[in-house]
Amino acid sequence: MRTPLAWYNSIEQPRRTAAAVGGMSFALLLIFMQAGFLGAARTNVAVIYLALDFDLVIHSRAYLTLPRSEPFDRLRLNQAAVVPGVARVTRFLTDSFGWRNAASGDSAGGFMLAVPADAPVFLDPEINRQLAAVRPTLTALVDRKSRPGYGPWRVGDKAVLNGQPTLIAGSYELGMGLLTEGSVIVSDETYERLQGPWHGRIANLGLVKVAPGADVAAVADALRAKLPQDVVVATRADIIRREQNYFINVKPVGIMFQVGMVVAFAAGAAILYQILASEMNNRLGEFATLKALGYPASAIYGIGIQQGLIYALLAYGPALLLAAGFYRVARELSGFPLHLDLGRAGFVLGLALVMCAIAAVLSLWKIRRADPASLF
Amino acid sequence: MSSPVPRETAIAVADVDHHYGAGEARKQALFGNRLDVRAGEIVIMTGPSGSGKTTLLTLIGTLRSVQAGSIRLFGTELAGLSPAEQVRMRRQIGFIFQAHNLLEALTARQNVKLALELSDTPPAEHDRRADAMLEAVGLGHRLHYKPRHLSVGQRQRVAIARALVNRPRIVLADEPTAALDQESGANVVALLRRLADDQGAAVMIVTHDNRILGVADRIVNMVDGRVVSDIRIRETMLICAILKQCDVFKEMSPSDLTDVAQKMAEERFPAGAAIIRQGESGEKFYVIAAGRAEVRRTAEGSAPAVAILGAGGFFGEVALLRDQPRNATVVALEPVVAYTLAKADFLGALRTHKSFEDQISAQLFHRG
Repeated sequence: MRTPLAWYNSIEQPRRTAAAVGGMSFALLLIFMQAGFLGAARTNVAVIYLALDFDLVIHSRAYLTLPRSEPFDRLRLNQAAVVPGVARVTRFLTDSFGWRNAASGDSAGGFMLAVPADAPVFLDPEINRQLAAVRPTLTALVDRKSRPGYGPWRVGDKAVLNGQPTLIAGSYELGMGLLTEGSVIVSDETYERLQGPWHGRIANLGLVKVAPGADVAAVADALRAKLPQDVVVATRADIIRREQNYFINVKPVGIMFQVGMVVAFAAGAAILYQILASEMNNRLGEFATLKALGYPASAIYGIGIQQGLIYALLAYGPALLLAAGFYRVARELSGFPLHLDLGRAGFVLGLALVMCAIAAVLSLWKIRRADPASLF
Repeated sequence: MSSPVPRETAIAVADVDHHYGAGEARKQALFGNRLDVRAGEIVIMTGPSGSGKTTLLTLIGTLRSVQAGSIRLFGTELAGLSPAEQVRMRRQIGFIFQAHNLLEALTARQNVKLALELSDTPPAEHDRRADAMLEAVGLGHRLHYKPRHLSVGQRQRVAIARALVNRPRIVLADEPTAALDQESGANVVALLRRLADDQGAAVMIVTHDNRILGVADRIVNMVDGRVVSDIRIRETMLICAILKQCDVFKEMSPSDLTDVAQKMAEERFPAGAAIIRQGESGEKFYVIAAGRAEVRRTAEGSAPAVAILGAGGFFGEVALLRDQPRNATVVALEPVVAYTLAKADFLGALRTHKSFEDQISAQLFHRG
């Protein structure tokens, strides 16, 4: 068939087509938003790892996720430091803490991150530069992206961390997103003062940087051979994947967005099916006529599939534009890292096509009933 | 009136039964039907609804599968065709449905092109061919109109253009004129007649429209799933016209003449063939519909030609009336189409006529 019948059929009933396209656009926009949030959550849950400069990480065998990382004996770090190929092992401590704004009285929670003041393990040079400022005990750097619950504060103010007045010696930009309300960075000595002296014997993570030219996997193996079974050695990619897997697939955060996506997908497919099926139903006589003219059933199924494709593609354009707009708004309002990248645009386009395929297959059943013998 | 030209059989229906439903609900719709339609013939099918005529039409159109019996279209058997073969077969057939069944989203031209796109016509020709066809049905000024902007009659004519654009050799039409006024109906029928005459298409029309009966070569009546009568209208009228000239029949009423004509069978003879031979016993009466034949009477070893018979000529009645052997030989000079009446029918027809005795004597007197 040279005549683009599917196209003519689609534009013949502009109102029906607009309904189909509008409904599907909305479903695709929902998918875009859910996928955006999911992607942002993925970035967000690994935000601390993503801010740190390391090749391998040593953590407790009982480690679940960074905010709930069982500590291990800091002696392991000394053992690791002498393994050939290891350039540097940095002790990393983290736990939640209570914040109180000394001036306004606002109080909130957050994560306290601690490294030795002489260890520039952050990727952000702004943080590394300021580590010297937290060398004195009871000084801290505060995350500028902490929630409003932290109250108004400025560098040089005092805040009460875990009940102890602490000087705000600097600030940085990290953003804890969904994880918690904010964060502070302190030296390991301050950390022991604020969290309890027994922390002096432990570490939450050992951040390993391998020597230039050394093979990361080989160093990891060497570390595993050397270290006792109470700790585990993971690569940077492994630990980030593990962290994302925990939040996306185990914790309800990710599942929530995934369910949202599935629901939006099902809604889109259902809308498309409804419109396509009623379209096919209305045109049964025409399809029967095509069969009588001598068109094979495959050509007629083709019309249905093309029409689904036309609806899906027409719906995709507006959804993409709206999503870009909404991402921007959400990003500006919440600071949540929503970005429209090519991968996500392609992913949603793929979903739109799958939606179209499902709707087409379901609605094409109707075409089987187009019986040319009924025309006489 | 055109004279019959030998034509091949376009549609041959033999022993066709058809059932609908299954199990308890199984119902027979067609019973052992036979029907032959020649190329160039227009057959009108009539009969009450539910008589099976539509079923027969859908079977011939390969829109249904043949269950029992045989249907051949130009020699191709339809029984046992695969669905794909059925689809290909349909492309040779022009369908005209009662409801026009145009595609609403397409213009008149696009609707006609849909059919062209299934043919071997080069795509560059499609627009021209479609436009010419629409011109032929008087819609040259409506090429770019969609069905909903056309009148009912115009839509039906677009559907007819679509059915005929590929010059199908078989046209199946269901009440093609039901939605049309007198003039449009006559135009459509004239179009079908032209297709049959010029391109030798076999046309079957299911209709209740008395206005178009005149176009038919034959009228087939179906009742309760059976063909109950098959009247060759044009042929019958042709035969009646010849019989009218024949002394034996000239006093007969038109209805008696029609009865006689319908009992006559067509026979064809190639040039040079002896149609009857002197000395044989006479079994049939002959009228010549087309071609010329020579009458020779053998006497003392030589067989001089005593007469030449052309279309409208008749012979063979003397032997039947006198119950004697043939008194002459008749040889076809060119291909001859004749209609023959068996002896029993011939005598039966005469006997029902009240001046039978007078007729015989008059006839015998003239022929001496």
